[in-house]
Amino acid sequence: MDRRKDQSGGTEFGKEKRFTKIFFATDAHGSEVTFRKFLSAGKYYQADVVMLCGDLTGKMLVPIVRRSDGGYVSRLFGQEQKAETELQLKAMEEKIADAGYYSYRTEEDGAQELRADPEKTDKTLKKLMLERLERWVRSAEEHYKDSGIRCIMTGGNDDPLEIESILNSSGCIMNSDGRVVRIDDDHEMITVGHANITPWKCPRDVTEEKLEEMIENVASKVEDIETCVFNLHAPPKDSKIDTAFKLDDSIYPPRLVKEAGQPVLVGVGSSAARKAIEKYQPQLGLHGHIHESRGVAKIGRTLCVNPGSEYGEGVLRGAIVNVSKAKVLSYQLTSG
Amino acid sequence: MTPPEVFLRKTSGVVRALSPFDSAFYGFLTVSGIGVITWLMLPGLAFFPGANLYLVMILLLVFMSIRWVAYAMMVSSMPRSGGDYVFQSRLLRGDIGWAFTWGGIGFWQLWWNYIVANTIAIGVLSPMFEFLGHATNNPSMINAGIALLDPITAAVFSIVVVWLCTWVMVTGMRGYVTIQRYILIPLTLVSFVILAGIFLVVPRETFMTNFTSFQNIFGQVNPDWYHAIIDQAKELGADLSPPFSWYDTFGLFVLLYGMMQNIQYSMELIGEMKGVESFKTAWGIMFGAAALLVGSVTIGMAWGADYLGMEFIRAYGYVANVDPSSLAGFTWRGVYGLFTVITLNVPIGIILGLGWIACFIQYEFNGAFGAARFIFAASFDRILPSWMGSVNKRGAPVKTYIFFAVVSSVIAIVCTGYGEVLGLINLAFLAGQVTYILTMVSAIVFPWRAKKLWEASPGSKYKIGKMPVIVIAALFGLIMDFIVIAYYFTNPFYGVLTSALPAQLFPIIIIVGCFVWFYGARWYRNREGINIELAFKEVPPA
Repeated sequence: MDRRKDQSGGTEFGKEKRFTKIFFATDAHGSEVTFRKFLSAGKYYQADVVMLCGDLTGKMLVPIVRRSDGGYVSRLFGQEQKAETELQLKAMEEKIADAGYYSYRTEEDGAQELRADPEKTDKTLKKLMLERLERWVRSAEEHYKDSGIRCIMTGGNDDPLEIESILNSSGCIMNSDGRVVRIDDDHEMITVGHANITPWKCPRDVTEEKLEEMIENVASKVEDIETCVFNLHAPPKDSKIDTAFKLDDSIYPPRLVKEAGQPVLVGVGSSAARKAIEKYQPQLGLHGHIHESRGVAKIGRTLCVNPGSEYGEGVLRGAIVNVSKAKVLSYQLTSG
Repeated sequence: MTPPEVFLRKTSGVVRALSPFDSAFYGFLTVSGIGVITWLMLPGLAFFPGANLYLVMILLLVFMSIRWVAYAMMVSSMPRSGGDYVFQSRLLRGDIGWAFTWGGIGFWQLWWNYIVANTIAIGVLSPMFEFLGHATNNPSMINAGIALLDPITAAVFSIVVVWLCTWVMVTGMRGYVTIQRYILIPLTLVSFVILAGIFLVVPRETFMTNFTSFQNIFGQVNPDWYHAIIDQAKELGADLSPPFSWYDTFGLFVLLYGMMQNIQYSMELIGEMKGVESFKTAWGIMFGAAALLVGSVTIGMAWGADYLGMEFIRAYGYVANVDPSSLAGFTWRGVYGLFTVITLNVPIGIILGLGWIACFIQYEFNGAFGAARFIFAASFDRILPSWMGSVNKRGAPVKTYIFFAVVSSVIAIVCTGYGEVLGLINLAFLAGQVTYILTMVSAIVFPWRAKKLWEASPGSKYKIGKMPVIVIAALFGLIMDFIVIAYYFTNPFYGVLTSALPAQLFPIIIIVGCFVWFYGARWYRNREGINIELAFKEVPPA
């Protein structure tokens, strides 16, 4: 932990203060520009620890099909996109990557093959996801090695388990999922990237019972629970940072549930996460998962933060949290 | 060649609730034709007699449609609740965003909450009771109507309405939307249908006769009030049949522009609207709201004025605003009062009255909803205390709504004791206009101030030559805004020039106060190790 003034020159009630500045972001979902902002975030926010936790990978494969005249065509944001030159093609690919999608150059036959063979589509998408994540980890290493800033990256419920080997491959970037790690001299942190079951049945969706077991397994290893940080991708149930519209998951894609003509808002967080926070009362809870439910909530003494996500717009939503040994000193939600 | 499809894997995602149709209707109800007609028809046509109202409607639709291209492009790239506040704070500065959106728009909603409730009392319920008393020959109802004109009675009524609406809002959005869908929208629409029907089938002579008999209940008997008012206006110097004038047309345009811009105010809820990530949908929502608005105003104001007699409407507005005491027994009962006596039919009068009330109740809700979105956004940015952004189990920001109701109640008391402060509402339009100018400036600098965000947005591909369309549309909007400002500062009708100095200073004090608050908050947060400026800044990508 540093002994220093914060970047604004502020001091706590006239005294020089000791604290660790955490920058926490989540749900980047493959967005290149969001990730590149995350790389700058440590220095920009003068953080001691930066975290990009949960749902690192994107969701969509966007074929770019070569036309017979040499040009390229694709579909993005529901609209046809054309590229006639290599420069335009690169710009198109960049735009697709910034939105969190994966471009895939192919011929007309290749596009038809993808359409006809969902397994091939899945394989192609997964390959591109892993390639991008591999590149991200290497970039993060480059940026944060020797910077004095600790960098943590973990998966979330939307991420396939295959990403673990990539995240674990770095000596510099820490994958804290399922473990107790130290983020400074005074604070341990536990991480669970899995979430309670969603209407989309994502790769790391598990039952509440299983999730409780996973949290319990790792929480029981913490030495000082009072200063601990709980980094649980799923926010605690009914905490107001887990509010989303109720969905009917008996069909796919899930449909909005309306009552009296109105969409119904419900807490969709995890009761296991809530139970753990209520039981252990850690100093800080860091959450994500529900992009639209950005906010801060108090559960007993624990400050729970969900910075939300706007990766699709290329915005790095995050939270700066200043923690001392005794308490959370202050926080700030950012839209970088 | 058909563009290839995309392949989406099963992952979680954001779901938004308000469909484009609901959003457009919400935007329409934020302004609503009945409010425009009630507040602007009589003074607008009296003081800009050379205006062509149908032309004004077309100009509004065309000019706003261009201006909203810039607005929709910002909406689609930053679809977050708080609209103008988000755009200005991210693209200009945090202090500007806070001071001008809260000081220029948000704060005045609390003012409007009182004005609206007061209008229900004196502009709808009072003439409604008088009309019912007259139609059913019941003097006590007439007296009840007259009693509502008492400022203290009207203030008490206003405060009760404000708190009733607050109660509905704290029960959550569902309670409100149920009321909107099953009561407010049907009543508003039925009112316009009834009005159109009346204009089609009832001859003007019937109105002239009924209007005279209605005016006579107030004591001063006149065999022909219709023509007496026209004659009196002429005597006071009104020009009731001037030739077409572009100056007057733009004068009326400016008046309606101020109201119509509030369709943008509905977009403070963009975080809850579906499809606004597409700029075409965002634009379509605003255009849809404007089309509904123009349609309803054309029925009520343009057609209504033609039906009642343009000369009479101008005269009625002129006498009421210039010197109502110059005509013994002249009693202003507003536009609802005029429409309801056309038939002297009790059910029709009641339905029209309920439609009017529904419209104004809608204002109460919309004003608070939009202002609460500013508060949310500013609370998240740590400019305001976090309790102001907290919500109850039903998702309603109870403390914020109660705070709004308290302030609106105080405003009601102040306005009752010092009626002259009501003139401040003229300045509210000016303050709002300045805010919207800054939103246009935000749009102009967007492609350069937040380059990455702009490049990722769906609007970035639209260019004319090398110039982004957002810049061209915003420049056009800015020119329109400056025409509006020019009218405000050169024509005394808008009240900016004629208001007392304290009133003129008031909006400036509010905005300066917001700046002071911002810097106070920044200082306080600095002590906590937080730099609130970081909330507004885009991180440069590595």
